[in-house]
This record gives sequence, structure tokens and C-alpha cells, in this order.
Amino acid sequence: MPLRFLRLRAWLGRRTSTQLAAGIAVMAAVALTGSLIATGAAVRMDQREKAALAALDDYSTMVEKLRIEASLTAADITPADAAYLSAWLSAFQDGPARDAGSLEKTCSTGQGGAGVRFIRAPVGKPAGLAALETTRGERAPRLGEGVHVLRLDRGVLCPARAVEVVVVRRSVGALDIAVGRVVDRSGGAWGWAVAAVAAAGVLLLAFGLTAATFARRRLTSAVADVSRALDLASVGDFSVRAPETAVAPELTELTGRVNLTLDRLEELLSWLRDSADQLAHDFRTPLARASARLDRLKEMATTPEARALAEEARSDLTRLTRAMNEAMTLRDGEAWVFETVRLDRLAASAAELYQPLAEERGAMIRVEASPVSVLGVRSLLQRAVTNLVDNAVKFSPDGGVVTLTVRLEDGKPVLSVADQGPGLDPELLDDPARAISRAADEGRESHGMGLAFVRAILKRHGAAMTIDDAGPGAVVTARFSR
Amino acid sequence: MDGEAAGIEGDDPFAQLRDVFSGRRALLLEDDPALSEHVAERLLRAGFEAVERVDSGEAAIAAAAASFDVLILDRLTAGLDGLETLKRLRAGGGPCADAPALMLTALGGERQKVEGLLGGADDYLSKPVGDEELLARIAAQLRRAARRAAPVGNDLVNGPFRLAFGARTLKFDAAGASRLIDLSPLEFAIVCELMTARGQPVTKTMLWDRCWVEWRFLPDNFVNIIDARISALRRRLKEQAPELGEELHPLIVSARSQSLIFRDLSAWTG
Repeated sequence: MPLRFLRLRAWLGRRTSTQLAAGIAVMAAVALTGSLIATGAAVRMDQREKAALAALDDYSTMVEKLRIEASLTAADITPADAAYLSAWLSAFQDGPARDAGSLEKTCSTGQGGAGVRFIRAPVGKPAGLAALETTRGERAPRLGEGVHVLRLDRGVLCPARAVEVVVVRRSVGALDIAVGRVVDRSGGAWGWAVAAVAAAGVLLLAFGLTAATFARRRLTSAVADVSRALDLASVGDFSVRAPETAVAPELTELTGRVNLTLDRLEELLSWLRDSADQLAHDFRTPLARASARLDRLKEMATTPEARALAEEARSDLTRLTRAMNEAMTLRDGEAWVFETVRLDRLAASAAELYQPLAEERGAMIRVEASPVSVLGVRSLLQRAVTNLVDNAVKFSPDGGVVTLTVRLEDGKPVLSVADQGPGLDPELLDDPARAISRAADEGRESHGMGLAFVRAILKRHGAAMTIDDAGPGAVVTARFSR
Repeated sequence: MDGEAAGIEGDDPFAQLRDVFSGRRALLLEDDPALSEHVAERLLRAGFEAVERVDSGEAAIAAAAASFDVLILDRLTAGLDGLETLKRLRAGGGPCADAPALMLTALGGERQKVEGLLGGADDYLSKPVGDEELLARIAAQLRRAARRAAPVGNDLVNGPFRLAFGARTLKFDAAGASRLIDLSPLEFAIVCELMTARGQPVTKTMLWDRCWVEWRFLPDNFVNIIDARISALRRRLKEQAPELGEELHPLIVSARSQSLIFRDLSAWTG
């Protein structure tokens, strides 16, 4: 049972609110139809009762008029009596009944009320509507003793209409008497009930659909507002918040939380930015001081050894500054705002930038790019691409070709830089980080020196970097996730 | 190369900057005493007449009642920071309101650079900065201030070369004939930058900032990139201006380790 409940909940969860609203409308229509049928049945029963009362009334009046009570027995009745009774019944046809509508009116409008009679004596011809005796009806003991409901087909009573008749069939002495009234088929009450129910249905449907549309539109626009705030935040713009009030109440709590999260994120980013600024200041000032002092030391140095030492220390400082700059670049506030960057154009300008250098080294740069853009920080992506091209040119042999490729793979942007250099240290393939740091420690340039920075930049853009052996040479590939 | 340049004292373009700096007064806002002293000492040695050292923005504003030829401001100072100080000086309308200003700062990010330039700085340098860079940049700012004061005609003439800023063309006039030197837009920008310096040195970082504007950062080996580009440019100029003779080529020469100069050809007579 709980499983079934869960399944139902899951199923409901997959319905849109429009589908749910339509479902409710269908259910309302079914309920209305049901109530219409129930009302119809009640009205019909009421009409039958009315007709039955009138018929019973007619019957008792007739019996009273006959004053024969139980005194007439089959043995007593003579053909003369029978003829008399027939004549009497004919005279009585338009007889004592009150509230009786005329037969013409009943037949033309379907309104009930017209009276019908039949009498049969043991002798002589029966009088009245023979169908009252021959038609099999349905006993209706609820309406009274000997009461039947008959259905008279078209042409039996009315030429153009089938009617329902409530008949009292009783025997008085030797006489079989059937007195009935035509039942009002629809009647005023029925009409009113139908009209009221239909009007209520239409109103309900209209109101329901309007409410559903309004709610849906309100929800949609509120969700769009929230999405917009999130979209902007995802590219570094925290100026927009989701509207907390005056939106769909279902979303108020959600938007509140979204905004809380955005606030927190902005706070963190601004802290990161400020602390990066502070760090930059705290590091750069002593670095600047040390550089200045080393410059002076170099000038005052009297021996070539001292000069060389000062120069080496200066280049250490330069390396330190560079490492710090790289670290700062990744954390700096400039790098929070994403923009659309055309990778193909970036590759083309990087190729152009390095063209003279490549020519000097006897290498060639080729660009195979199709228009592809990514969301990112332009300056960081520029750094990454130039770093890769720089490496590739540096390790290219004489006459080597550096190939920059920009393309879409499975709809995702891919940038790769291939060279025809010595390829990769197998060690670099296994554990690039270690190989790079070892090479750096030994003071030798490695293919991977700048790659750690490139990898960090790409990671910040949700891209993965792979280094493969291109035999000959190496190919570095950046795969963006969007 | 450093020693070589220093060896020819008379030819060292940096020594020639002494004339540019002589009689100049600088206002230096720097709250680190050691750095402040270092910079002041360098400027005085390079020929500056006086360097007024202050360690707070408030003091800088007070000192700016006097006139200075150049403002050198640290970005992060206690109290009023360098950027705010500069904004107030620019808005105050005092004698220093139009003086060229260099922000010399620990905050070297792209964002801060833009903020600094929008805040009224004419140049933005991140620490640590070498002497060569600092002096060349100050000289460039003084040149620009002088050009603002007395605008020259449209064309810049250097011997047989005539640089038209509007048309972005370089013409070579020799023996009564005039012809266009064919240059790429980048090459034109480089020539333009170097010739505008009129024989004064332009550092490679300055050149990068002004000519490779599309790149919003300084690549690690920008020196190699620039050197390769300059070599190609030297060859092009030599091919297209053979009249100048072997001894004048290359037209673009190095100065110290980080700077370039376009030869002054005003003495050339066909």
C-alpha cells in the first residue's frame, strides 16, 4: 500500500499543473453529470408520485361515484349492467379529475396530467384504453397498492410521443378498473435543475481554468525571475536577487533561500577578493623592497661573484613574483565575471602573436578552427591558450608544425594544441604534478612547467585538460563542459 | 647587454633622460619608508630637482598646494588611499589637477588597473617595478604632458620618415620622391609608439601595453615575442628604406635590457 501511494505521488509529480487542472476539470464534469443524473431520477420519482396521487384520487372518486363497492360480483353483473358502466365510464372520461390536463396538451408538449381509464366487466365489451390492461408494467408498491408504471409507446396514446403512465389497477367486485395519469416527463423542476447544474458547471470550469492559468503564469514568471538571478550569478553578476514577495506564495520560501545562498556566495567571493588584495599588498611590498635592495647591492658589488649572486637572487624574486601573480590571477576579483569568448578567434590571435617567434625557430603554426564560443574569463583563457602555444613553439623541432584545433565534439567545445617536439616524459603522463615539480626543482624547463597553471585555469572554467602522446610530439587538449 | 649600454655613457638614452628630468619636481605618496626612499633616491639621481615624499593621502593633498610635474601614488595607503587622493586632486582644481599621475601599486590585477585609469591615473604600474621601467614611464608621461601643452601638427617627422597619425601611414621621403612604407597595423602601432618617444627609450612592457591591447595580461615570455616581432619589423624597414645605408640599420635599437628606441634621423641628409 505505501508503495502504491509512493507510485501515485511520483506519477502526480510528473504531471504539470495544467495537466492536473485539466484532470480536476474532467473530474468536476463527471461529478456534475452524476449529480444531474441523480437529480433527474429524483425529479422523475417526484413526478411519478404526483401522478400516482392524482390517479389514486381519480380512482377513489370513481369508486365513490359507482357506489358499488364490493357488492358487484361476477354473478350479479348482467350485460345491461356492463353496458351501463361502459356508458358511464365514457361520460366520466372527462370526469371528476381535478388538475387534469387535456390529452391534446399532454401529447403536444409532453407535460403530464392527462387522465386515462379502462374498465372491464365479466360481460359485455370493455371500455377505455385497452393498452392499460395489455401493457406489462412495472409494479410500484412504494406509490400505493396496485399501482403500476407503464410505458406506452408512440402511437398508443399519443401519435407522436411515447409516454409514461402511472396506473391504479384494482378490482372492484367483478369489475377490473384501471385509472391512470400521464407522468410529466420533464417538468419545470427538472428544467430548472438542469439549468442550475449546467450553469454551475460552466462557472466552475471557467473559474477553475482561469485560476489554473493565472497560477501557472504566476509560477512561471516567478521561476523565470529566480532563474534569471541564478543565471547572472553563475556568470559572476550578483546584482540581481530573486523577488521574495509579490510572487507565487509556493515559491516564497524557495526564493528566500536562493537569495540567502546568493548573499552568502557574494559575501564569500568578496571576501576572497579582498583577502587576495590584502595578500597581494602584503607580499608585493616586501618583494618590491627586496628587489630594490638587490638592485642597489648589484650596483655596489665589487666582485663579479657578488654581482652574479645578486642577479641570481633577483631572478629568484622574479620567479617568486611570477608564481604569486599566477596565484593571484586565479583568485582575483577580475576573474569572477564570465563573458562569451570565441575560442576560434582566441586561437587565431594566439597563432598570430607567436608567428614571428615560431618563424625564428623554424616552426610553423597552423590553425584549424570552427566558430566555437565558451563562457569564461577572457584574460584567463588568453593566458591558458598562449601558455600552450608558447610551450608547443618552444619544443618544436626545426620545420615542425604546431597545430591549434578548435572544434565541437558532441556539442562541447574542444581546444587542442599539438606539437611535433620530443613528446612527453612518460613520467609526465603518469604523474604530471610530480614530474613538473621535479623539473622545477632541478631548474630545468619541462614541457609541463606552465601546464599546472593552464590546468588550474581550465578547471576554473569547468574544463578538463589531457596530455597525450601524439607520436611524434605531444597534444594538449582542453575539453569544456559547456 | 646591460654592461655594454652602460659602457657607452654618452649614448645611453637613459643618461639622456637627465635633460628631460632636470628641473622637474615629483610628488611621491608611499607609506613604506624604505621603498619611498628608494624611489626618491632614483628619481633624484636620474635628474629630478626635488621629490616631495609623503606617507598619507591627506599629506599628499596638503602638499599638492605647490606645483608638481608628476604624481607618483601608491594605491593602498592608510587613511585616504592613492586612488581617492588622486580623484580629489583632479577634482580640486589645484596646481596639480592636471599633472600626469602614475599609480604605483601592489594591486596589479586587470580590475584594479581599470579602476586606476578610470580614477584619473595616466599610467598604472604594479610593484615591484625596476628603475628602467619607472624612469621610462615617467619620461613618457612628461612627454605626453608637454604634447598636451603645445600640440604639434598632425604629422611627426623623423628625418626622411613622415608619420601621419590620422591616415595611419608611414611615408619615406628621399631624393624628392615619396613612398609609403608597407606595414601591418601592429607594426604601424609599434613604429608610432617608438617614434612618438622622439629618441627616448620605450620599455617593452610599455610597448606591450600600448600595442598588444587585445591581450589583457603580460605573458611570461613577452620579451621573446616582442623581440621576434621587432626583428621582423627591422627587416621590413631595411628592405623598404635601403637608402639609409648600412650604418643606420637597424632603425630600432635596444637600450639597456628592456627598452627600445627608434633612431633619431634628423641629421640624415639623403
